[in-house]
Amino acid sequence: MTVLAEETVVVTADRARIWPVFSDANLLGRVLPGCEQLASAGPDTYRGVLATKLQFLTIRADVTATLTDLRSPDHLQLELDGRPRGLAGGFRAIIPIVLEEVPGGTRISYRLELTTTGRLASFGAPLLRDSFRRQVASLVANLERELSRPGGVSEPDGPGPGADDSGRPAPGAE
Amino acid sequence: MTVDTAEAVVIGGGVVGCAVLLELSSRGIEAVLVECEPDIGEGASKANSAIIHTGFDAKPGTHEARLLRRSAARWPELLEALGVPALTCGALMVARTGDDAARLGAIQDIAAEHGVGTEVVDSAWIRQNAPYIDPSATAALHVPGETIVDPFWLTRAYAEAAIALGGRVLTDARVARMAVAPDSVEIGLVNGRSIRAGQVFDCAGVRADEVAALAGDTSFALTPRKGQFLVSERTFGVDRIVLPIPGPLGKGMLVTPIVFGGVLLGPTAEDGQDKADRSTTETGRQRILAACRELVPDVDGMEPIRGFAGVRAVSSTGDYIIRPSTAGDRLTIVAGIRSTGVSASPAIAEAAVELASAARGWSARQAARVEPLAGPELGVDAGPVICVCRSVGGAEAAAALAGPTGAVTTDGLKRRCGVGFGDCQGNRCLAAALELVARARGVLPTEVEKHLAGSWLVAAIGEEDPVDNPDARLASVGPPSSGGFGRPSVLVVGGGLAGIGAAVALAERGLAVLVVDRGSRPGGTLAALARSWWSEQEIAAARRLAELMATGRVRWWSEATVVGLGESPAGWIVDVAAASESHAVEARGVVLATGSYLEPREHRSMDGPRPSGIMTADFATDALDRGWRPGRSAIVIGDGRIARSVAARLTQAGIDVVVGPGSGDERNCGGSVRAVRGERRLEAVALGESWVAADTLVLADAVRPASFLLRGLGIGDDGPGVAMPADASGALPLPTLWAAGTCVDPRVDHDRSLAAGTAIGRVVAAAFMGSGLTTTADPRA
Repeated sequence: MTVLAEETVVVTADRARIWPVFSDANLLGRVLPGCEQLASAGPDTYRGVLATKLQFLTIRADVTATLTDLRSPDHLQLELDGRPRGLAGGFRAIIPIVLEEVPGGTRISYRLELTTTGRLASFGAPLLRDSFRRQVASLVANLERELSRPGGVSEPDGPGPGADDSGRPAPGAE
Repeated sequence: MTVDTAEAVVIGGGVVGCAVLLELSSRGIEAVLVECEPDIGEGASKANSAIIHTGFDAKPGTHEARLLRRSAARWPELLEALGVPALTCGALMVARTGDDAARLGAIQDIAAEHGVGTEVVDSAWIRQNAPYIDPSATAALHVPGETIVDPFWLTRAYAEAAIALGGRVLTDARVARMAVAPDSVEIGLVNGRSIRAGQVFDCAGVRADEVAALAGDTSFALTPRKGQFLVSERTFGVDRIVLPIPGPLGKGMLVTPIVFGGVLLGPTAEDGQDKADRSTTETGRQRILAACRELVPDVDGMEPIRGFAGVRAVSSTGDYIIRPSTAGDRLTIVAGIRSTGVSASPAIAEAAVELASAARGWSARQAARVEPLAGPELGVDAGPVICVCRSVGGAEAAAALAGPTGAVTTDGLKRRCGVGFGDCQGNRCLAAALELVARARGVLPTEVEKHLAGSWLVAAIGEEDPVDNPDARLASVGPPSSGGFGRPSVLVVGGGLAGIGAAVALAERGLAVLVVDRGSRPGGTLAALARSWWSEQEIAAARRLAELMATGRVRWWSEATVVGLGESPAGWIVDVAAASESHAVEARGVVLATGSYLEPREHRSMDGPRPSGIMTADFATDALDRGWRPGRSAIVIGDGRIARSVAARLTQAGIDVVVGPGSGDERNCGGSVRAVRGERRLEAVALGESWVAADTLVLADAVRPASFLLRGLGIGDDGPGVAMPADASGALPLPTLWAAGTCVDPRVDHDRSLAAGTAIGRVVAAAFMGSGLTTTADPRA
């Protein structure tokens, strides 16, 4: 497992509005870059198809995403298991995420621990890192776009449709 | 004689020629590119530093400086549209003395004059941000805009984008004559075809002066400057381009990250006279290592995975030559591009086309925006793994063979999708790659070339010639029937002698065993050897394996490739790719018996160029199995059973083994090859002090462990063929993972592999004893 990135980004949106995104499959599907399908597959689990542009090649991968270690409102871990279509092998990513309130928005700190097998492993870490950074930049832009739309996500007051009483994100519906 | 017409013809399919073709096509000018070799990008465009320079240190006032800066403005959009692998990683020009530091200031001034952002950083910054640089560095010029790129991909993407806009590319189209008239230029090709064009662009690289001379223009001369490079899979942590203060012959030797991983070292700068000389030498290798270890000490002792050389065109004027020919303005000279052709290619093309535009009435035609290329289309299935070192599947290979710029040579396939770029340098997958190219082109294998015209790979085709196998029943093993394999207790990766030994020992002790093997027959490397080369114990083990397979106690998945391993709570998840299906197989334990590959030329110190005909016995036997004759006259290196077997098979196939075991001339069976000769197909081999004429050199005297599966687990080494780090019991430093055979103990004769595999089988069975995984043990165990 390689630590491919350990960085922070700032999203101009309140943390309380970001947290429920993880519990809403529709919304998550809209903010995840290259998400072509996403559906709930059980508690804190989604399955879908993500397309990632690796400069010279667009990789479509069947992905299972699992949310673990959920500690509302500031910590969760995203685990992705994927098998790229048309390429031998697969990948597993573990991404611990911390959300902190900062003036004007939310600072998101994350680390990407990536294991690749087969063809992806031969593309080399620099290209994969570059692609991941582009994805994160898109994710931030998508988040800011979605959260600026009226009704884009539940309001922070009270448990919205995407969160249960404990504040733990509930699985979204397709 | 066929006479074609075009508004413009571009001579030369390198990066500059293809950029000019795109520039013309994007302006709606009907253009044809003619390239003398079978594929585009066969000259300096495939053998350079793979950098897009900002031009920060270019000599002010030159065409080069101006066009580098103009290109820098165009690159971001162009790279995105063309979908070219590129990374802006930045560069550090390292100073190690006070004088050096002073020169950095002067270079920074030049950069500022060009408008290139740079900063001088001190030794503390270097230690913090680039700890791989030699500690003697006192300062460095940081150039954040320097970019690494895949230059061949760029060349092809230019051509592909041009074709999408109506451009045409003719390969195998050498220009034999050219006549410039006031109203047109007539070009005669060696194939008898002629093209009449309104305008011709001479982009023939280091031979642009010779092309111009065909039209009577002898106003300039180009001399070749050879640059040798080394490629390392290990990166030494290098994440930026590291370069010295430039010298009189150029930028000096660099340590450059490669966009797909690894680092590139070099180039040398060797002025010569022979434009075809792309040979590499031990002297060059040592010079590169000496220069680069002054920048990055860890490269000392580095083992390159490959070496190559390119030839830059140095012009008699000291600058780019972009002007009308003295033979007439219908011929535009685009020459002397030296070492910055990749970097300046967009603006060179723009300048060349604009130069001709006024005279041709093209000025009103504005360049259209280059539409994004779609990129390779892959389906859902990866297909069978063609290249095991890089896990390149059939789907990727098929995409690389398709389309107007699809691969037509085996090197072309390698550059398009990576088949053959890995540790074994293609020797284990060349036969399959050759078959794919032949099938895609609808030609016989004898018509497929390695790279240049005349670099044939197969001399003739005869009867298929598979060897006699120790047990006939093993030869019939095929892909699995549907239904899968359940959940084996132990999965054995590799069906060579070690895999057979392990599988038999495990099954006899009651464990459910699945063997996954790339071959169609058990035996691994020895599957290519006739029965007479197997020991009695090996034959007995193969027969016992057949019995266990017949009763279902060993399950065997042939023609399948393990492409990765992942730890799981229950043990391991093993990624297996096969022709028709791919699976993640769960197993409690895994035995890696991945074997070895015969040491290819690229891992050896062997002076000379890189013609076809230099192979390991892996390719030679793959070819013979298919009924192909891999040459006419061969030298076989090695004196073990693999060398003796392949020499016998070559002789039996009618190939003249001039030196080798059993040939009557065994003078170098155990020795090394000093040098080779032949630009396209091998012509001669230096054995000791004498040269021996042969068109085929078969290397069978040493093996390297096939250990690349461990890299993804973080316990392998990025170097080529480093043995798996198993302890005395065969255990690797991860739970329930073992290794045995030549992947641990690389012996060319594989003489201990069966015993090692058997021993590991017993160790593994003992480890699982009492776990509930074992059933009734075989009384013979």
